[in-house]
Amino acid sequence: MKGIVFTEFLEMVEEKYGYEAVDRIIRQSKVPNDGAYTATGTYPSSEMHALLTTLCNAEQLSGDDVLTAFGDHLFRVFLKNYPWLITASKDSFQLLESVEGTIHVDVLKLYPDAELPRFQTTRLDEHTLEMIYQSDRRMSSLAVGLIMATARHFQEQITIETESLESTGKSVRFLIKK
Amino acid sequence: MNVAEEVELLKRRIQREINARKQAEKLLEEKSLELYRANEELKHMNTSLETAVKERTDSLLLSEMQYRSLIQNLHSGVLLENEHRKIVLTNQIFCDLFDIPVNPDLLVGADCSQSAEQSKHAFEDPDGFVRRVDTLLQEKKLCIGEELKMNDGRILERDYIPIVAGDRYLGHLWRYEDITEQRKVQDIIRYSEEKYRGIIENMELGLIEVDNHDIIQKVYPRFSKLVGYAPEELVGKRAKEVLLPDDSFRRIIDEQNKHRLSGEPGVYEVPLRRKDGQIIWVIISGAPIIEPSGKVTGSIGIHLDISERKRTQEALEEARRIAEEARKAEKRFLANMSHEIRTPINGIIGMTHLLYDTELTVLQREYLDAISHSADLLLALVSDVLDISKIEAGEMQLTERPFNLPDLLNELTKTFKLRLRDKPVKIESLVDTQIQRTVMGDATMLRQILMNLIGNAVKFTEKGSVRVQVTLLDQLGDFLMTEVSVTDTGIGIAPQHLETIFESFKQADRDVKSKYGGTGLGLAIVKQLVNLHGGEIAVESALNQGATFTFTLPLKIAGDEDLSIVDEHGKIDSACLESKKILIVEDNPLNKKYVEGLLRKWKAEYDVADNGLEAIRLVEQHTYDLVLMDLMMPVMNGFETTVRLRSMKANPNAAIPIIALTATAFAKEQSEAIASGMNDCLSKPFTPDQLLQLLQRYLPTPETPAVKTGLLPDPFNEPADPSEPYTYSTALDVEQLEQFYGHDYSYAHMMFSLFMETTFPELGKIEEVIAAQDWKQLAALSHQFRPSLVMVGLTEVANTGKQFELLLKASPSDEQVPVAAAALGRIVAEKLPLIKQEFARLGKAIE
Repeated sequence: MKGIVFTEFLEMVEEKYGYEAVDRIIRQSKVPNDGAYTATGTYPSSEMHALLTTLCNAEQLSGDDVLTAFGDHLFRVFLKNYPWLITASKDSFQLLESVEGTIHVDVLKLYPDAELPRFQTTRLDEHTLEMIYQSDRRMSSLAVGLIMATARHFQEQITIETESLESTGKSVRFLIKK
Repeated sequence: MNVAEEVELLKRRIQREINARKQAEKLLEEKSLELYRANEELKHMNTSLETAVKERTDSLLLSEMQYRSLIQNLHSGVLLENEHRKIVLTNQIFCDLFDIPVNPDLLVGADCSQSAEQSKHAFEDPDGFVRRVDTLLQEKKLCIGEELKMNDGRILERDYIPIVAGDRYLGHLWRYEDITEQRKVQDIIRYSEEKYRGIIENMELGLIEVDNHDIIQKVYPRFSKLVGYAPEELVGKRAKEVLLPDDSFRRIIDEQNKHRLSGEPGVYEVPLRRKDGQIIWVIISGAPIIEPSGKVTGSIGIHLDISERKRTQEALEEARRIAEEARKAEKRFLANMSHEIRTPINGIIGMTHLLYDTELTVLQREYLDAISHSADLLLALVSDVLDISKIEAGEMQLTERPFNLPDLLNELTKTFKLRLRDKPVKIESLVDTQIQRTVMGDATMLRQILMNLIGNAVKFTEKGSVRVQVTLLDQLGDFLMTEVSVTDTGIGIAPQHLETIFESFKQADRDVKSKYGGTGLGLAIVKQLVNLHGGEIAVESALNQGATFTFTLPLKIAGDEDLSIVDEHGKIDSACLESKKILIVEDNPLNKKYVEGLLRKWKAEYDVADNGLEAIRLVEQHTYDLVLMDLMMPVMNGFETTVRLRSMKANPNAAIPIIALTATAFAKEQSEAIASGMNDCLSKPFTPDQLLQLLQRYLPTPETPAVKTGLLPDPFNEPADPSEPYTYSTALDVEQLEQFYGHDYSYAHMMFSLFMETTFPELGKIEEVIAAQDWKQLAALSHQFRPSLVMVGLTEVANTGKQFELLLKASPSDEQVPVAAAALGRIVAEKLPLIKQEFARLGKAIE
C-alpha cells in the first residue's frame, strides 16, 4: 500500500485528535519502524489495518465511518495536490467515470507498483450512475467517502445505495443518484 | 501532560519524521539510479536506432538510385505521378517521345493535371486521347498495351498502372513505348505470311495438316477440291482411314508418320480414294511441323495429283513391253528366216549342181551359171546379214584361246592357193619371228577377218601377188600389239571410194558389183570384227596400184601351257547324278553314245530319243530329272520340242531343266534356246567336265557335294592303271581326245568301237563319190561324218571336209573342186588305217 495512504491517514488523525492520538495508535499498533511513513514508500496493508483498528477501538468509532471520513480527507488532499485531475471534469458523474480510464492510468505512471481498486461505471440514465467496486483491500467505504466528497465539490445532491455483490466485501455495487 | 512527556512525544515525532525522510531519501536514491539506468538504456537504444535509421536510409537511397536508374534506362517513356498528379519521376525517353525540351529531373514536382490537354494535339484523335486519360484516372484500373496513333505516323503503346498501398491510392505510372518499328516488322511478317499463304492456296498442290496421331487438323481449299470432301468432313478424322483405299498403303503412311515424329521429311506416292470413289494418284511431300521448342506436333502433307502422269507412265510401260516383244519377235523372225532361207537356197544350189550333170545346151549352161551364181551370192548374203546383225546386236563375243598363228595363216593361204591356180598370182604369208608361235586371241574371228580380206585380194587381183604379213609393233609384258596387213597387186580402189569402203553395202562402184559380185558386206563385217577385237583397220590404195589393208590386232602371250590343256578330269563330283533320270534327245549316233557313256559312268539313268517327237512320247510316259536337247534334229527340232514340253501343263516333266546341246558357240542361238524355254546351253563338242558342271548346277543333291569331293573314285581314272599311261598316236588330235575321254581309255575304246561299227564302213563311200565326181554328195557326206570324225581325233579330216564344203559353196572353178575332193580323199585314206591301229592299241591297253 502506498505510503501516501499512511501519511494522509495519520495526518487526518492528527487533525482530529492531535499528535498524541497519532503517537498512541502508532505505539499501540506496534507497527514496524515506529510508524515512520513517507508518501512515496510502499508498506504492507496489514499495517494500515492495524492502525485503523487501533483508532476505532480508542475512539469508539466504526471502521466504515473512519474510512468514509478518510475518503473525504483524501479528496481534499487530491484537490489540493492534483487539482487538474478533478477540474478536468464538469460534474461528479464525469469525474467518477474518469477514475478507471484516466486518473488511475496517471497514478500508475507515478507509482507503477500501486495496487488500485478497479471501478466499472455504467450510466443507467441521466441521474443514475452505477459504479462497481472491486478490490482485495475491502475498503469500499473509503470509496463512498471519496464519492460523497466529489458530489460536495461539484455542489451536487446525491444519494448512494450500496450493495455487496458477495459476502467478503471485495465486490460492491454503488447506485449513485442525483 | 507534563513537559517531560511532551518532550518525549516530540522526540518520537521528530524521530519518525527523520526516519520517514531517510526512507524518502533512500527511495530517491533508488529512483535516481533507476532513472540513470533507464537513461543509459535510452541512450543506447537511441544510438542503435540512429544506426538502424542510417542503414535504412542508405538502403532506401540505394534502392531509389537503382529504381531511378532502372526507369531512366528503360526503353520506354515513364511518368510517375503522385495522388495529387504531381510528377514524382520521369525519364529522358518520356521527354523525347513527347518533345519536352527539359531535363527529366527538372520535371519532378511539376503538375500534370493539364498535361493531357496540352499534349493531345500530337495524337490523331486528340479528344479521344483526353477522354481516355480521364476515364483511366477515374477508374484507377490497370490497363496495359493500349495503342495510340500519333499525327507524325508513330504508334505508341501505353500502360496505365495505378499504385495502391492497401486501400490507399498513392498515384499512378504511365508507360509509353514507340512501337512503330515493331509494328512495321509485324506488318512485313504478316504481309509475307499472307503472300505465302496466297501462293500455297493458289498452287495446284493440296495441303493438309495432321497431328501426331494422323488426325486431320487443317484442310486447305485445294486439297478439299482434290479429294472432293468439304474441309469439315475431314477435320478431326484419321487421314489414312478416310483417304487411303487399302491397308497396304496405310502401312506406307504409318511408316512415313514414324519418320515425321523423328523430324524427317519424306516424299512418296500413294493412291487416294476421292469422296466419289474415284482413285487418284498423288505424290505426297510430308514435312514435320516443329514447334520452336523442337517438339514435333504433327506434319504437313503436300499433295500433287499425278493421276495423269501415272496413266501416261502405265501406257508407256505397256508400249515399251509391246515394243520389247516386237523386237524379240523380230529377232526370232530374223534367226528363223535366215535358217529357213538357207534351206531352200541349199536346195536350189543342190539342184543346180544336179542340172549340170544333165545334157545342156550352151545357152542352158549359161542360164544355169547365172542361177548358180545368184544362189551362191544369196547364200553368202544371208550369212553376211546374219553376221552383221549378230555383231550389231552385240551377240558376237570374243573367246580368247591359245592358237598357233603361223598354222592359221598357212591353212588360209593353202585354201586360197586352190582358187589362184588358174591365175598368175602368188600368195604368201610372213610372220614376224619375234612373235611367239602360240598366242592368245580369238582365232575364229581372226580367220573370218582374213578370209574376207584375202578373199577380196584374190578376187580383185589378176596377176602379181597377194601377201599376208604379221608384224610385232610393241610388246608390253604379256601383251602383244601386232599389225596384220593384206597387200595385193590388183585393180586398186579409186580415191573417192576409199572413205566409204568399210560401210555396209558400199562397194567401190557398180561395175565392181557386176564384174566381181559380192554382197558389199564383207569389209563392213571385217571392220566390226577388228574393232570388236580391240584393233583398227585402214586401207591404202590407188586405182590400178593394188591395195593394202592394215589392221592392228592385240594378242597375248599364251605362256608355257602351249596348246596342251591341263587335265582336270575327276575333280568334279558326280555323286549328284546317282539315281537321277536324264533324257537324251540327239540324232547323231556318236554324240549320243558319247553322252550315254558319260552318264553311265556317273551312274545316272537315261533314255534316248532320236528326235523331238520321240522325246515327247517318252516324257508322256516317264518322269525325268533333266533333258539334254540337241537343237537341229529331223522331224522335230529342239526349240519346238522344248516349247511343246513346257506347254504340257499337267505333265510332271513340264518344268524340268532342259540343257541345249548347240552346234555353234554363237550367243544368238543360245539366247534363242533360252527364249524357247531351255535353262542353259552347252556347245558341241564338249568335255565331260563341262557337261558335269552343268548337270550339277541343275540337279541339286540332298547331300553336301563338298564332303564327297575327292573321296569318290575318279570316273576316268578308275579303270586305268596309273603305272602304264596310254598315249594316243600323235597323228590324231591328242588334245581333243584327252579332253573327251581323260584317262578313261575303255570309254575311248568304246567310242572308237562305235566309230568302227557305224562310221568306218560308211567312209568307203567317200572314195566312191569322188570317183563318181558327185561333189554335192561328197559335201553331204563330209557334213554327216564330221562330228563322228572329231570324236575319234580325226579333227584334220573333219576340217579338210569342211573346207571342201566351203569351197563348193563358194562358186569354185571346175578345176578347183576335183583337187579339193582329191585332197579330202587322200587324207581320209591316210588317216583311216590310223584309227584301226589306235582301236587295236586301245583294246590291248585296257585288257
